[in-house]
Order: sequence, then structure tokens, then C-alpha cells
Amino acid sequence: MSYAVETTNLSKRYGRTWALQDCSLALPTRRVAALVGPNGAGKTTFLHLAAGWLPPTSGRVQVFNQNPSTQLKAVLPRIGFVAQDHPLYRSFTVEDLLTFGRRLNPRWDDRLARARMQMLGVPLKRRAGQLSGGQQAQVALMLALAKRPDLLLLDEPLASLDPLARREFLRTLLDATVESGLTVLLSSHNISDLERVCDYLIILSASYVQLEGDIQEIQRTHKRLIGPHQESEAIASVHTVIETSQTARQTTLLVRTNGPLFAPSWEVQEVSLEDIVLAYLSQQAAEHLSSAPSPRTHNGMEVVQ
Amino acid sequence: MIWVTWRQNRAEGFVALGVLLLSSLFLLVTGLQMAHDFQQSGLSDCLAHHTQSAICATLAKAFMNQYSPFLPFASALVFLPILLGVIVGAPLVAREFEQRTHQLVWLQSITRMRWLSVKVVVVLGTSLLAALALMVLLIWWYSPFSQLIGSFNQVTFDFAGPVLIASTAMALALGIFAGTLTRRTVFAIFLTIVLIVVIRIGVEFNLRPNYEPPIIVTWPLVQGDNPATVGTQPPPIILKTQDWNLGQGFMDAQGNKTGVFRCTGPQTQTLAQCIQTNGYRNYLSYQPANRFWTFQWIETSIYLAFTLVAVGTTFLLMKRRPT
Amino acid sequence: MIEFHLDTHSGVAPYLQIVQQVKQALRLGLLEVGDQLPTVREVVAQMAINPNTVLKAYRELDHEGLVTSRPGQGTFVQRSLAGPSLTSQAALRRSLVHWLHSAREAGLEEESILALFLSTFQDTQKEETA
Repeated sequence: MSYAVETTNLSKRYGRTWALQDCSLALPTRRVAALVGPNGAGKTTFLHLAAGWLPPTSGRVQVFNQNPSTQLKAVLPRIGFVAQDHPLYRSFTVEDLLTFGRRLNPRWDDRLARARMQMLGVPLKRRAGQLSGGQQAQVALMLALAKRPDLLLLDEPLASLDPLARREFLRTLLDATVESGLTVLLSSHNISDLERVCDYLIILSASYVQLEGDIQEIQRTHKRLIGPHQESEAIASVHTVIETSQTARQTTLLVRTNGPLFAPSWEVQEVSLEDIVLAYLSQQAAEHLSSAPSPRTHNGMEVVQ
Repeated sequence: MIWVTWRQNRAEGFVALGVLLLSSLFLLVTGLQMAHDFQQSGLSDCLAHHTQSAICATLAKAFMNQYSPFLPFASALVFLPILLGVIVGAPLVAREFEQRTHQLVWLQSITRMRWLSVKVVVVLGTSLLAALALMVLLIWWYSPFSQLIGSFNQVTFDFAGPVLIASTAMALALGIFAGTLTRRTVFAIFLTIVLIVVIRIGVEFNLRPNYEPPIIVTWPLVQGDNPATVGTQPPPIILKTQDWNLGQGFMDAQGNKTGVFRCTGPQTQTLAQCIQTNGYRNYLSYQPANRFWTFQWIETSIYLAFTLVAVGTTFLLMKRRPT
Repeated sequence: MIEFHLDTHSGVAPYLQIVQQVKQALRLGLLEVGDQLPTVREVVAQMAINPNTVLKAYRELDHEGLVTSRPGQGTFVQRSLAGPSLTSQAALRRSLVHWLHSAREAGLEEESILALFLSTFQDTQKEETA
């Protein structure tokens, strides 16, 4: 398995604030990954470190087995980055931006960039500042894609877009992944936008990685159990409890199973991805998981019911 | 990246080019007219042969009456480098931060150092070429005046040699430095102006007259008590037009310079007694013409040193504080 | 050309929804043996979903022998599902109309009829996929 992004105990501090602490993960290639977490969780910092924008305070980050901040010249041409609010030179026309990309990138595919702009109906002679928000996002995406990167990093690309523009943006993005072997990592504080699009998930909260893995595996290993309170301890001793809630009559547990699940007196339900993410971001999760290392669920664990 | 630098500064470039062309046009038209008159009237011959006739004096006066109104234009040129530093230099780096396009351009395939290097070299290079062209044109334009009133004076010194080029480079470099430091165009503009003004004033008024110690000539005052006539003894030497007259006045025994007599001692002494007591004499302070080019190169080096420091600090800032 | 629809709130995994919709199309005769399924790229462009989802669905259908992938050419229907012919559909329609009459005569209102039908339908669905 080759990895697009691999981090080992990655940490970053600004002044006295830790933006990231002990983040260890391995994102395989050809995935469309979601980096999810509340605002201020460290998502932008993580993307910046992956792009070599700044060096880590401690720990290590590798992109295609190279250090992005020390080997910038080798790595940067392979990375596409769309920053938050997709900044563009507002006085440049779209045509100017194409020239900009062509002059600054050795692997620039001008034909592809023009074809995309034409397909999306973005006029080449118009200034970037006069385009709609959705069109600006598409232009920023085009600039990153025409570079022919192997890894595409996007910082909250959907945040300022209306639902139609969002759908169009994702369409363009996914189409690009079909025709190339692109790995995508996009951050959001909202998982529901990304569920249909992503097959890999990284949950970042309070500067720690809470969970990372294939979405399929995550959904397979996370279950909601409803049953009698007395048996909660037994469950908790084998599997990891992410969230608990109790009524007088029953206890609901959201667990990450570590091995086969034998719980005959419990009702077992599937959990939606959104509920899984919310559970990990909750206060309870912070308490339960602060000392545990972040788990990786993409090496495949069997769950027998 | 060269294209990108050009495209980003296209508007300012056109403005600067327009100003340069207009100035050049003015200088060309008026310069040709002045040179023509200078030659045709015979004034040129007068000055070439150092003729001291009344006709020559009349010609000189007529020429100055007609063309000296153009001189303020030349002195206004000291503001062009400041404008350049402010309009091109200050936003060069600051605007990228303000518009957040640094997150776009630094994540293409170019390193920050190369980005900055190309920007600085392109902008400095073209400005230096423009300054060189302007300097050549100005020296040509000023040549009649140079023969009439000399180039070795505070105003003309600014443009009659490489000082013009070096001061332009410095203004730009200070602008770029200010923009990189403050990351806000408005603050950068303010800081640039302050830096340029402080440095230029400091150099021009404190350092320039003293690059080599001025030659001071003293001679005695006219005998007598009449304050109107006492200082009218002419100096023993006559300055050439190409010498730089730094000032005249009275000097006491300790070497203090003054424009008026300050009489210490009993109140009832006469002027002649006061002069005697304090040891007052006439003095004349000047820099000889043969030091002009030495002074030009000294001042050029000073401005170039500031330029290098500003550019070096800019690169250091970029390396230390990358985001 | 078949068009897919994704219901994000159904609780059914996206790739399974595609599988079901292909099977449905086969049953209804909208897809016949030899027809080409939309390319991964076309599905992604239409639905804006992860291409691996489409690949997984097509692999599942291939595994069940319903379709086959020809490298460089596309994915083609290989086997049709034993679906009702037009005549058996007409017969089913008649018995459905008969059932509806009985329901109305029993005093059920429209909403109750629909609720009864849907709950029975869903229960039998669960039994089938289990």
C-alpha cells in the first residue's frame, strides 16, 4: 500500500497554542478523504503542513515519502492546493490566470484547463473579481487541477458556496479523480456534504486525531447498542465506548467494536456517518479517548453478529 | 514569474512609463530650445572663453530670466523615487498578504525565495534603467545651467550623477522592505515615506557637505564702527561656478560661525572693540569643484548600502516568517 | 440510458442503491442483455458520488453474473433477471385493482391503504435481503 500523506506524531505550535498534537495517520493513495472537525480544530494547519507551507514543531509529515517543507522543490509540483475562500487575483482575467498557471507550473495542462472552463461556461475574458462565487471556486479548482497534481488539498472548499455551486464543484472534483490517479483531501466542519463523495475519513478535534480510516470500515465497526444498563461494563471492557446515554429503562451505547460482537440482549443498529462524527466530536469522546492512540480501521476487522 | 511580476504591476508600470515619457518629452523640447538659444545668442562662446564683458553678462542675465522658471521642475524630480517606492515598492509584497493571494502563488511550483528574487530583480532592474535614462537626459538638459550656475549645489547634485540611480534603488528597496515588514499596504506606504525622508534629509544636509572637510577661507573685516560696511571686505579668492558655496559669514576666535556679531564684554564698547575682543573675521566655506565626482560616488555608495540592507532584511524576513 | 438516484437518508449504502437500481431496470426491461451500463465517469458526473462507489456496485453486479466488464470498452449486461413478461404484469395489475376494491369496501381510507401496502412491502423487503 502506498501512502499519499503519512504523519508520525505530527505537532504544530503557534506561540503558546498547540494547533496539532501527536497526529499520526496514513492516507492511502487514490482516496477521496474528508478531514472533519470543528472550527479551530487544526484542519487548516494540517493541510498547510502537508503542503510544506510551514515546518512542523515536532514529529514528521511525509508526502509521497518526501518531506514537503524541506524538499519543497520536488514536492510542490505534485501538490494542488485550494486555500480557504479560494483566493484569486481579482484584477486578473481568467485568461490571465491560465497564463499565470502555465508560467509557474512545469506540469501545466493548458488544454485541459481551457476545456474545463469552456465546459463550465466560465468566460475567459472576464476578471476573476467579477465572477460569481461558484465560478471563482471552479477557477481556483481548475488552477489546482491543471497542474496535474498527485495530491489535491482543499481547505473548506464548499463553505461559501450555495447548494447548486457545491454540487457542481464536487462534480468537477470527482470527474478529475476518475481520469487521473489523484488523491484528494478536503476539510470541512460538516460531514453531510461529503458523505457521498468521500471514501476515507479523518476526524480532528481539539488538535488531536480522533479517528481515521476507510469510511466503509468505520461504518462496519461502529454500532449503536441499546440494552440493559447492567451489561454496559461487559461491553465496555471489550469494545471502545464512544458515547453513552441513559434513560430509566435502557442504555444506549455507541461503540467501536474491537473484534466480534456478542451481545444477545442488546439491540444492534447501524450508525450514520454523521452520528459517528458527532459522537467523536462530543465532550464525552474527548474524555474517553484523550489517552488512547487514534485507531486505524482500514486494515480490515471482521465483525460477527 | 517574470510575466507574473509584470502583469501584477502592469497598471503602475504604465503610469510610471507615462510619467517618464511626459517628463522626457518636456526635457527634450525645452532642452533643445535652451541649447539652441544658448548657442545662437553667443552665450556659449562667452562662457567657453571666460569672457568678462558687459555683453556676456547681459546675455547670461537674459538666459536666466527666460529659462530659470524651468529649474523647479528639475528639483521636483526628487519626489519621483519616493513615488516609485510608495506605488510599486510598498505593495509588492504587502498586497499579496492583504489579498491572501500568497496562499495561491506560493503553492504553485515556485519557492518563496525565487518568487521574491524575481519580483525584486525585475522591479529594481527596470527602475534602475529608467533612472539611468532620466539621469542622462537631465545632465544634457541642465548643461547650459551647469555652465552658468554650476552643478555642485544641493538641488542639482541629486540628479547630475549616479546619486539619482542609487536613490531610486533605495526608495524602492525601502518600500519593498516596509511592505514585507508590515504586510499592510497603507502602513507600508507611511513607513516608506518616513524612512526615505529621514534618510534623505540626514544625508543631504548633514553628511553631504562634509564628505571631505570643507575648505574655509578667512579674512579680516573692514576697520571701523559702521555695521553696514564692516563686513564688506571682499574675499581673497573668487569661487568658480563649479565650486559649491557652503556659506559665508563671520567667525570668532574660537571658530564659531555666525551671521551677526555677538558682543561679550562691557556694554559700552564700540563695534570695533567688540570685533577686536572676540576676534571676528569674515569666513567663506566651500567645496572645490574637483571634489564633485568623489562626492557623487560617496553618496551613491551610501544609498546603495541602504538598498542592500533593505533588500537583505526583506529576504531575511521572508525566510524567518514564511507565513 | 439509465439514470441513477441517490437517497442519502434511506440508510442503504450508496453502492447497494446502484445495484438495486440496475436490478430494477433489468426487471422492468429497461436494460437488456448486451446493453452498456453508464461508464463510471458518466455516473460520477451525473450523481457527484465517489467513483469507488460506482466501481464497487459494478463489481458486485459482475460477481452476481449480471454484468461483465470488458477492459477498455465498458460494462455490459450479461444476464437478464427473471422478470415478469408483459402479460404477467397485466395479470398482476388486475389482481392489484381487485385488492384495492376489497380494501375500500372494508372501509379503509386512502392513507390507510397506502400505509398498509408500504409497511407490508417493507417487511417483505427485509425478509428478502436478509
